[in-house]
Amino acid sequence: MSFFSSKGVCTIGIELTNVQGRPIKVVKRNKKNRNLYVFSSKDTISGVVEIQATKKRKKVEHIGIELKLCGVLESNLESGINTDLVSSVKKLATAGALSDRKWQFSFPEFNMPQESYDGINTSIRYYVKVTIKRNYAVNIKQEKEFCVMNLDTSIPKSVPIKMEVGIEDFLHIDFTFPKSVYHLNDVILGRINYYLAKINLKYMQIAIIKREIFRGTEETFTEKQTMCTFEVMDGAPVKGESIPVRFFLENLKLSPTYRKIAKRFSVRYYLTLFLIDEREKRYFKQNEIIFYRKSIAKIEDK
Amino acid sequence: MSRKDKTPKISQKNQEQKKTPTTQVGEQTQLLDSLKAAARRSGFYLQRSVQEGKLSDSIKQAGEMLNGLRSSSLSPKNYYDLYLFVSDELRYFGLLLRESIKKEPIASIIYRDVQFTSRIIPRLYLLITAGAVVIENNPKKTREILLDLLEMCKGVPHPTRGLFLRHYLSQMTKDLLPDISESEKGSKNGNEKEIEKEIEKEPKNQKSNENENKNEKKNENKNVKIKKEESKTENNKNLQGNENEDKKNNVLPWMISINFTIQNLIEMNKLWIRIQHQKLPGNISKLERVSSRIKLTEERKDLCSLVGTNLVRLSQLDSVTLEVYKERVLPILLEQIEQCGDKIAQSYLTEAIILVFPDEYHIHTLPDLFSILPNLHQEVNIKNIIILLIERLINFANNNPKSIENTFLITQIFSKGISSITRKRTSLPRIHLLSILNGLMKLSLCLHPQRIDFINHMLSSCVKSIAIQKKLTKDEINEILSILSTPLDFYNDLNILVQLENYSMLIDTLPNENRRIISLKFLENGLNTLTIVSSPKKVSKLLEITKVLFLDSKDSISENEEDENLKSLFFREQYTVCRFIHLLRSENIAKSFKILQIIADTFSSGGTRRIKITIPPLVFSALQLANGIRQLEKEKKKILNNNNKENKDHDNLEDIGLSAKKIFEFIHKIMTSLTKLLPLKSLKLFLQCALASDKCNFEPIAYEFMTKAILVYNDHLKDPKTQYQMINYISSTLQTLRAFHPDNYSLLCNQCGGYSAKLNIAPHQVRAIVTCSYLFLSIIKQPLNIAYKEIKEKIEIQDEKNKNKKIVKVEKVKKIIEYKRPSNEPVLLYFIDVKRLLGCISRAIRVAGSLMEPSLLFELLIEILNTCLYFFELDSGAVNSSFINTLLDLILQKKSENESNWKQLLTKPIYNFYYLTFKHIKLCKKNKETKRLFKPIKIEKILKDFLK
Repeated sequence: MSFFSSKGVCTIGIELTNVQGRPIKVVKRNKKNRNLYVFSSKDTISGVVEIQATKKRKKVEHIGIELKLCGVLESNLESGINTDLVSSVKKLATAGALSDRKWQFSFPEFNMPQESYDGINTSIRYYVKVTIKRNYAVNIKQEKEFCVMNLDTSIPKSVPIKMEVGIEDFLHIDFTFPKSVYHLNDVILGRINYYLAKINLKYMQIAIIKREIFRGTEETFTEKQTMCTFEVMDGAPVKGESIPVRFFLENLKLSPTYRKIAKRFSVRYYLTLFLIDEREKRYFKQNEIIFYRKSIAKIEDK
Repeated sequence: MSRKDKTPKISQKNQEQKKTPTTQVGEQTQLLDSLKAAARRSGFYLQRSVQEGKLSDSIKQAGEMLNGLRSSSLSPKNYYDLYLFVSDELRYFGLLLRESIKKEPIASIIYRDVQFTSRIIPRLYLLITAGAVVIENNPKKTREILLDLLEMCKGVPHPTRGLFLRHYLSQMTKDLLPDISESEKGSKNGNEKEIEKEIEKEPKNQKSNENENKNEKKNENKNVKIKKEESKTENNKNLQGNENEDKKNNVLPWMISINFTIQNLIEMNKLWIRIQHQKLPGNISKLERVSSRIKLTEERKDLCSLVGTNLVRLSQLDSVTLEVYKERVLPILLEQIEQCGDKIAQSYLTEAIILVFPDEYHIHTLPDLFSILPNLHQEVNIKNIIILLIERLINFANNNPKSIENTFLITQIFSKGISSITRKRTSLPRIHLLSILNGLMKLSLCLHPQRIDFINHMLSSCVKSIAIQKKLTKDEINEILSILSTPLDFYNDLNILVQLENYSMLIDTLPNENRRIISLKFLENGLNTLTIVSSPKKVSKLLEITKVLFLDSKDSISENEEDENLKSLFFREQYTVCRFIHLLRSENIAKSFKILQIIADTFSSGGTRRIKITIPPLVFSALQLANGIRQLEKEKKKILNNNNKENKDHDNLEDIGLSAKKIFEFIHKIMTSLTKLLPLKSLKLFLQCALASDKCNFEPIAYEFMTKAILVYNDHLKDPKTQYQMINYISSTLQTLRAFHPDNYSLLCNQCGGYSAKLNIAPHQVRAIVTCSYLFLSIIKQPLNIAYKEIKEKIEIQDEKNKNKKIVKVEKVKKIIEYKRPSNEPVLLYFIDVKRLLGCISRAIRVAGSLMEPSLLFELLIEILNTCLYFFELDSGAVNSSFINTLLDLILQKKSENESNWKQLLTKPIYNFYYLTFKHIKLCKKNKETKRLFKPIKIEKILKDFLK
């Protein structure tokens, strides 16, 4: 299937080949769902570009046609600062008149270490872009977006998490999770041990909080997003009790943890525990957990 | 229906306890209604999703519906209401799961998907529902799922919600628990291996992951050094240890069920206890706080059956055999009960164990049960528990006689257990201890009634427990009374009861009024069962036990008591005593006499009020004994006469120096105290004694008694009417005595005559004299041959002693004997003195004649005439025809003197008396046999005059 873009002058169609059997990720673009093919780093990105001139009677001049594959870190926090993470340009045609033409292209084993990402203010997008450069008029552009997901090969070393919450003589609780590193379909297992709980706790929940950290030129922006909350305890425990936690990550649409992409963007996840007492007072404790991608599902929901 | 019924009950309770009941109740009902409505709505969507077969939608809707159970504002009862409603709706969800799982093997997916639910309460309800379906579909997963569910349920430590959640767990799994059946017993090892394999096959399963985690955590836990948590950690270790052990030993499927149920029970119990300790809001007043606590306790008690279901479940498992119960179930349960330290839980669970499991199990685990009782919370009502156990055992023993092997061992265990309880539980109320001992006594009687020593031991324990100087409360007194009644009602034999050495000691601890009640009951028991107590030793014990009835004491009831009830009680007591002493007798005369002496000793300290009532029956008892001895002596004589051989019985009598004489001496002795107190009665008794001793032919004794009687008459009787009555008694008695020498007899007759003549009231005098007249012509009113025999016997006995004197008497008596009456029937005349007889009659006529009242005169005259006719008919020569004629003339003369008002004078009865008398004479004149005798009587004129 190909998408043609018309600027009144011509239509540019970009079609990716090598998509047989690829997983599809559904994303929202301009309030519409788009299915993107999922590629991984070192995959060969190949396809066909087809240009059809619409006004055949009139000759359209251009100063060259380029095909660019790029991964861009975009942010709406500081407008105009888009950082190319990777890019590669192929010249399809030198200056001349626009005519109906087809090109095959291929970026063999292209290196795309960063994954596609759709955040609140920041995103990473990959696309193939055809630009018909013109001297006297606006360039004619056409993009074909695709998605990049990488299976993590080097999984960070997992350490057990142990968090203690304590108010002297009132509360002494610890949370233990044997792992700090989880894959995206993992289950978080852990226990909450109570040693002292004079505070009348009402319930407890855990939450996974995502932080997008974007370092702009002047300041650093941090966006927090609570991915989910999950009630793990109802009522007040007595000392000595140990409450199990079992929390499935599968349905949460998480991304892996990203660190300092292009030296300015990170996505981090935190496991946060909230204790809420009967006066709705909250006590919390959080610890970073690291997500990695272990598999790519056939269809990744938006 | 039942749900609707419950709500009003709660309303009532609230109204009692809350200050603003209507709003509270209103709020609750409103809240419940709205939650129910919400649940109903979600339930509707749930059903639709289920019908459409949409699994993920159903999960969502079911979770939605379960949200109502997150409410904290409902009272436990209303929460229960909602719980029932929701869990009912959840069945649809279960149906869908069951359908889905049939189509494709997605058990683990279902089990996982329900866990996406973010709220814990809905999540766990769904997990349990799903878990049940998974097990149903694949029983091999039972162990895995059950353990996981148990573990996950820990996420709800909220007492009420956790309790219901776990109840749901118990409900959903109840039909899925693997159990053992006869057919399975053989192949259980095989099954087990399969299960083990199954577990090994799924190493990547979340569950086993979790187990690993758990292990890690456990290790960490151990490292955390918190002293207070020791017991808890211990518990965890145990759990873990058990699991490991289970795996090693190829745990049997049914063990899973037992462990699961016990574990759930333990957790539920903890939650249940925690309801009590919920923190109350800080802004309420002290009063509200107290009433809230009370309300909490009440509500908590309502929830006990939730916990109890686990016990019921355990008892329903066939795999819980006696051995398993003893080794695997009870120890854990008991440990839990002991550790939980909560009074309500401890008493409920202990009682529930006793009620739920078979009695046979209890018999074999008694020491275990008893081992925890002393350590229970001080406020736990140990008494109720033990009594319950005892009642069960008694019931069991009654329904399955001979099924208990070592009965004494059981009571020994009880006894030891109870003594250790009293040692350790200083706060055990005395009343409770008494109730327990009472129960144990009943058990002992049921199991081994022959062990009187044990009963006695129990009584001694009771006495010891009372020894502490503290006034007995009303309840305690009632309990002691019940204790005392227990062996009484059981044995219904005083002979056994008197073997209880400590019985009287226990009675002595009671206030007098209660001692009287039980003593009376004692005696009444003897009377109802007609138990003869024949050993002097037993008799003295009996009297010791019931001594309160015999002894005079300050607070004993008085005869002159104002209170009619008390007065009648006193008489009831004493009359019971009177009846009772007749049960105290032996076949052996010597023993009987000994018994009488013991009774007399006891009675002697009873004070005048009692003696008045109790001595007479004692006298009669003694008289009866005397009669018995008399019979023996007669037999002895017969044997002597016939065989000249000696009989051992009689030897005995002589050896102990016992004779009827001795008895009479005894009677004489006890009577002396009575004469002043009760002259009238003692007079009559003396007469009785005289009669009895006369029968025994003891002339001096009989004479003594007669003299005593007359003495009493002389000294103590002042009332004319009584005097008249008593002199009549005396003379009538005298007339029947037969052992007297005529001289002595005539002496006594003189005295009678003398006292009769001294009576103040003329008609009395007349009548008494007339009565006396009979003394002078005393006949033996027996058929001749018997009468002969009797007299002969007397003569012979007297012959032995003083031959000369007695011959005279024999002669005298014999001479008179040969009188024949007109009826040709010879009678024996015992004594006759014509002169004095006539003297009496003449005196009577004279005194009567001097009376001023004519009507009375006629009455007396006809009586005198009748007496005279009696003597005349005997044809003894004492009264002849001319005497009768003179009397008839006198009557006529008196009639003519009173002719004017004759009609008024002669009342109908008197007229009839005359009429019949005359008719009799007329008949006798015609009669062939009496014609001759009656010929001289001139009756015609008087007949004409009277009967016109």
